[in-house]
Formats: sequence, C-alpha cells, structure tokens
Amino acid sequence: MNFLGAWSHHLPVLLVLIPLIGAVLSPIVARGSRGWAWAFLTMVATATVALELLLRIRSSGPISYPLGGWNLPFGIELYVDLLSAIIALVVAGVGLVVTFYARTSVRFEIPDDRFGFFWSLWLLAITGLIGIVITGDAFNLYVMLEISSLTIYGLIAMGRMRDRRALTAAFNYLILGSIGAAFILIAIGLLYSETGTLNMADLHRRLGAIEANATIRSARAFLLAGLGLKMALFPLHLWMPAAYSRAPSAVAGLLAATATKVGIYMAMRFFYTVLATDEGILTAPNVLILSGCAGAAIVFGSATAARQRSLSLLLAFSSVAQIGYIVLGMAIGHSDPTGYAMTGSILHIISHALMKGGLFLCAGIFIWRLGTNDFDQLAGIGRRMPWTSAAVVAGGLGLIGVPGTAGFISKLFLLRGLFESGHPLLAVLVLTGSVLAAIYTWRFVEIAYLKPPVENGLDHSEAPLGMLIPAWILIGASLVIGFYPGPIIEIASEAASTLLGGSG
Amino acid sequence: MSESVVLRTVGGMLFPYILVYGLYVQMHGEIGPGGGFQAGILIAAAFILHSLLFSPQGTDRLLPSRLVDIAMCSGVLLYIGTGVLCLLMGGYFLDYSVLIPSDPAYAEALGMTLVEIGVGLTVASVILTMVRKIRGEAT
Amino acid sequence: MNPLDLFNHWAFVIIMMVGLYAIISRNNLVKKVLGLGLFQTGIFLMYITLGFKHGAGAPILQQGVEATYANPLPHVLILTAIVVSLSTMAVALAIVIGIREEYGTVEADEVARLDSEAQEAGS
Repeated sequence: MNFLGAWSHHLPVLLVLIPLIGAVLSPIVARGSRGWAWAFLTMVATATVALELLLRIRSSGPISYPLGGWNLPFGIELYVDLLSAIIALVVAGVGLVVTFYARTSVRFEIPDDRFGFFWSLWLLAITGLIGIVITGDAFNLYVMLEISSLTIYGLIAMGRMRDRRALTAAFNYLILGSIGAAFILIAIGLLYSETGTLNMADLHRRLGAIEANATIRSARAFLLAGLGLKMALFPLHLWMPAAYSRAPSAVAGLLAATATKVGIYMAMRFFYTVLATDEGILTAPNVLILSGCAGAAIVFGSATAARQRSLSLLLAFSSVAQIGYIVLGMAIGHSDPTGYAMTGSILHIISHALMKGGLFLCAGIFIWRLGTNDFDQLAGIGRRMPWTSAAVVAGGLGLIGVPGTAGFISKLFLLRGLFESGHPLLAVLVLTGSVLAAIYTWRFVEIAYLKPPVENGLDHSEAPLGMLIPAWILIGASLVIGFYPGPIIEIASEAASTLLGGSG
Repeated sequence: MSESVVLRTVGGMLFPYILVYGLYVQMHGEIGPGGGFQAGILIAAAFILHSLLFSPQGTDRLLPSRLVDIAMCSGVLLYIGTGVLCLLMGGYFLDYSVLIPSDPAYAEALGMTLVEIGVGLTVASVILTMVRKIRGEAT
Repeated sequence: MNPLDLFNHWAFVIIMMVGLYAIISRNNLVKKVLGLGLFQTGIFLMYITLGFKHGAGAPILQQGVEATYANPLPHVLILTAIVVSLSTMAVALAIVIGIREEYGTVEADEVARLDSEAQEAGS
C-alpha cells in the first residue's frame, strides 16, 4: 500500500504540511460554501498520510526527520514512533469524520460570512494537534501546543451565535489554558538550562547522566501542573464542561475526541521518554498525585455526570471520568511489569476518542433538531429519532464497558494491569466508575424511551444522513473494535512496550 | 484622525521613511540584526500611523483589507512553498542548500531571504488585521 | 552566596506572581488579560536570563576576532514566545470585545449575574 512512492521518506513533514497548506489557502480559494469541500479534501489527504505513516512504522520502525537537514540534536527533529503514529491517526481519522459531519451542523451554527475563517481555524487546530504528536523537539511542541490552543479558543467562541455563554467559556479556557501552557514553557526552559538541549531524545540522554536536582524537580512539578490543565485532569478540569457544552457541536466533537487525548500524549511523552531516568520513570510523589487525581476524577466525574440536566454537560463530565481512566493507566504503567495498564491506557485513548466523539455528534444532532439537548426536552425522543437515540445508547454502553464494545476491551486491560501491579483498591474505583456510568446512561434511556413525548410544536423527525452517518461511523467503529479487538490490541501493546522500554 | 497640522505634516513625511526602514530591516535580516518579524512590525506601524493621522477609510483605500488578507495567506505560502521546493529538489523540508546545487552557500542565503519575506508579509498583515478588528471596522 | 546574584530570578518570579494575582483578583476582563500578559512577560525574562553572560556581545562571528558572545538560542525561543503571547492577547481581546457586544459589560461578576438570570428565566 505504498502509493506515495518516492515521497514516503517525507511522510512526517507532509502530515503537518497538508492541513497547514489547506488552512492557509481556504480563505483564498474556498470562500463561502466551497470551504467545506476544501476542508474535507484536505482531511482526506491528511488521514491517508497518517494511515500510510502508521503502516510504515509498523513495518520498519520509528522515523526521524531532520527539518532543514540540520544535524541532530541541533536542528528541529520530527520523530514518529508507534504511539505518535496511533494518536496522529486518531486525530486525523476522527477529524475527517467530524469534518464530514460539520458540513450540515456548521451551516446553522456559524454566520455565513465566517465560513472561510472557520475552516481555516478548523484545519489549523488539526495541524497543531498533529504537530504536537509528531515533533521530537520540546520547544516545537510548545509552539504547536499554542497553535492548537489559540485556534481552539477561537472555535469555541464561534458558538456565540447559538449560546452567548460560549464567549465566557472560551475566555475562561483561554486564561487557564494559557497559564497551563506557560507552565509547560517554564518547565522546558528549566530543562534547557540544566541540559543545554531541546531535542527530546537528547534531553532524555543527558538527564539520565545527571543527578536529579532542584531544577529538574521543579521542571517536573511545572510539567505536572501544566499538562494537568491541558488534559483536564481533575481538579484542573474546571474549564472543560462549559467549553464542551457551549462550543459549536462539530467543534465539541473534535475537542472531546482529540484535544485532551493529545494532552495525555504529551504527558506520556514527557514522563516516559524525556524525564525517564534510572531512578524511576515517575517518582513516587508523581505516581501518588497522578493516580490520586485520576481516581478522584473517575468517581467525581461520573457522579457529577449523573446529576446533569443536559446531554452535553453529562457527556463533558463523563469525559472528566474517562480521562481519569487513561491517566490512571499511565500513572501506574511503569510499576506494572506486564504492560497491561499502559496498553489499557492507550486502548482507552482510542476507544474513548471514538465513543465520545460519536456521542458529542449525537448531542449536536439533538441541538440541531430541538435547539437544545436539555433532558426535559428530550423526553420520548427514542421513538421519534430512533437512530440517533440508539447511537447514544450504544456509546453509553461503551462508556460503561459492556462486553462487545471498545470500552470493555480497554477497561479489561486496565483492570488486569491494576491487579498485576498490586493496586486492587484502584481497581475498585474503576468498577465504581462503571456502575456510575451505568446510572447516567440509564438516565438517558429512561428519558428517551420510557417517558411520554413532550409536545412543543417542533419537528421531531430523524436527523439528515449527513449528520447521522458520521455519528454512526464513530460509534460503529467502537463496536467493531469491541468485537474484533485483535489488531488494535496488538498495535497498542507494541506501542506500550516501546514506551515502557524508555526508548526515546 | 488628528486635527493638528504639525502632526499630520510630520507624520505624512515620516510615513515613506518608516516603510523604507522596514524594507531595510527586512533585507538586512539574514546578515545582521533584523529580519521578517521586526520588518513586518515596522511596515504595519507605518500604516497604523497613517490611519491614526488621516482617516481609516483613507488607509483602506491605500491598502484594501482584501489585499491584506491575501498578503497574510501568501506570506505563509511563500514560507511553506520555499520548504516544499526544497522537498521537490530532493532535500529535506527547508533544506535550502539544495536550491542551487552549484552554490549551496548562496542558496542558503536565497532560501533564508525568501522565508524571511514570507514572515514579514504575514506579520505586517496580521498586525494590521488585528488593529482593524479591535477597532471594529473590518468584517 | 549573595542573594543579589539571583536578582533576575527574583524579578521574574515577582513579575509572574503580580500577573497571576491580577488574573485571580481583578473583576474586569481586560485587566485579567493584562495580568496574563504580565505573567507571560515574567517567563520571557527567565529565558533571557538563561542566555545572559557577562561582557558578551551579539553572536556574530568575524574572521580573526576573538569575542565572547551570548547564547542566542534563548533569545530566538523567546522571540517565538513573544509572538505567541501577542497572539494570545489578540484572541483574548477579541473574545472580550465579543462579550462586550453580547452582554454590554466586561465585568466578570456582571456577566455571571446576567447568565444566571437568563437561566432562571429560561427554566
């Protein structure tokens, strides 16, 4: 499947260049309604390159790409290993599906004269997210992080036409996100002052050769706080529910599926390949903080989700909990010799991206049809919009972790890892989270199927295929993984063992 | 818009000199202190001065906002285009030395100048757009 | 050790904390944005300090001239970070303008009050 032939050597840089060129050209070549076609084409190309890259890395190992041909470690390096390729494919693939969905949803949520800029921001956000994943240079990572964050603030603020509170949500996210990014910048500066290099592999080598001192310890602390903000780890999740529930629905789908996942990727990259030293990958306090926060996130997020009054807010708080699962796997990953916890963590990144992306798209369909997705308006919706409601239920089953869904596979690995590494107490927390997830999924079932329909004079017919198909692609993909988990498990465990091997 | 004759006369005289100085900083960038960022800011400053002293509509006639949008995008395109040209000539992305195989040192300077012009165009037009948006004129 | 040796470090921490205090304590959204700007400026000072060297000049080498020069990399990095901070300010101010258009105020507590009133009227 090597259809890019001679260009295959340049795949890493193409992965960033294609959406970037698409973003820059979209206000010029694609004014008005042509913007969608342009963005969609760009995303098809990006996803193709991401798939090709993943296949190449599986067959021939990690790819390093020196930008400008500068000798490493002096130049900026793009470094793609299996984990980066997986996350890049998740971002590009989910981005492609959500772009397909956005064609219908954007038309009623964004003013017409903003289309050109909307698609430009959309593609730039994806450029930034992919850039974070494939860069091998710490400062480059910060720049890419800011590219994606700034465009995401703008995208959230575009929700103002539907709900003016989108502006305050975007503002709060901007303040907190900038502080988080500034912490990451400080940490990178401290690491640079200690080692004199910014290349991640070189940083790892040099940090391994020196004793951990106050500078490195404070860099670790800044990273922990900054990344915690970026990945919305409890109790630093405060920006997230408002931002996800008020953003335009396509943007919410993209963010829920990719933005926080990229934050978690950064944490894995920093803690497992950059800061990893002989004295232990994560220091004991780090593990305590991360797994404590993750455990609290699971219980708090699920319990709060069960008390929400609208589907979007329920999904957002459930994301807080799901991020807890992923971080939990990452936090105890190094103390688990079998690698199950880390594999579970990576699997959950994939399955949560699919499920939560699909669920937010469904929430957007309700908004498109009813103008809101508050539960009192959704009563009896199961009989009127059967396909959309069924998708929500299927996604909800995945969040619980019912066998046959992707959520089951990842939670199974996570639980095995927790038992293998001797944390049965945390395993109880994971199971508690599943019970709470069952409660909030049941709430939707009860409202949608068991309550009498409300009469409010609105059109309640099923959503157009342009929105339904992408939502079902994502939900369906998570079901397919649930039934045929073999290849995904194989890739994820390979990525986990590379990560745990500390190769950088 | 300023009513003062002194300000308008002196400002009007300064306008071309700021532009020329901006261009000097731009072209001098790769062998001395300077470069696209600084030059872009200077050029934008010239137009901002113009719009403060005279009417913003006058500045719009001098430099239509559509043109600024195009300059913003084409600046980035010039940057990426130079990089992609290096790819096509068989080097790495932004590896200028392959642009002229017979004289790699000169090719480095050429590539750097092209990239810096791209940066300058983008910075100048982004700053102008930002000022316009915050003043609430542009769409 | 003379505490003044670390003068720059003290300065950048103090500048950052002043900015953070402004973000937390000010009610006016524009002042919050200014606080954020100050916070980021503190980090610039930290990076500049990293590249500082006594008696060093610009890193432009000349044939036959032995000169000590400052490490240019932190300056380049911080040039990028300044641009990022500028863009952050621009986006933040654009959002504040939007808030002002929609709510008619830039005071955080006023905005929160209008939101909760709208929610009560809606339910």
